[in-house]
Amino acid sequence: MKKIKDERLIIRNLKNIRLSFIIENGALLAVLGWQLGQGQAWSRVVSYQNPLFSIFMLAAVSLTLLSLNVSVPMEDKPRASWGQLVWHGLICWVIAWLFCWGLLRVNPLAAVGLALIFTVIFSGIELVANHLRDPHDDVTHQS
Amino acid sequence: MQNNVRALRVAAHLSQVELASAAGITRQTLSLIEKGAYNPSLKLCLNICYRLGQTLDQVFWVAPGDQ
Repeated sequence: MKKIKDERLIIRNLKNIRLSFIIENGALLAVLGWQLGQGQAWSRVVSYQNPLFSIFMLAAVSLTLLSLNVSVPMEDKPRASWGQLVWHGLICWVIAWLFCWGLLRVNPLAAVGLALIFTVIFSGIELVANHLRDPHDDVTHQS
Repeated sequence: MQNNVRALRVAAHLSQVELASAAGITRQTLSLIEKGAYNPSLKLCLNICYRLGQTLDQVFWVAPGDQ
């Protein structure tokens, strides 16, 4: 395929990719729904052992991560300091530990490890989002 | 959005293919720009102006309310 130089065709191509993404994921959801409709166990269909579900989740997670550079500018929050990020991470760890230990009835020590995995994922997303935040430059008068 | 690309291209004795190729776009895109059916980016507007030897306001300026 030749490299597209025309800006209108580049946008057209991106719209085509978006449409094929919607069709592909719609088809995946339809097949997953069909599998459930056929009477297959929920735990078997909605499981990472099921390649269709894995592909669907891969698309959903990558879309969520990539959409950070859209949602962050829309929020337009000021950049957080390292202290705030660490504080958020600690809060996330405690809440995740309480959730795993209290609600999921996981062994308290295993809950610490599980909560740590949640915290690493949460903090990673926070770090990327914070990196995308621009310092505000609202200077309207020059001295 | 309306513009003067077509009139200025004809005045410069350039065909759609020649101007499109010089500006790095396809003839179809140039045709849509001339019809006002596609709004080009500022970079492309400048490229077209350079090829026509005109300024941005001579080619693309639209008075407020005429859009």
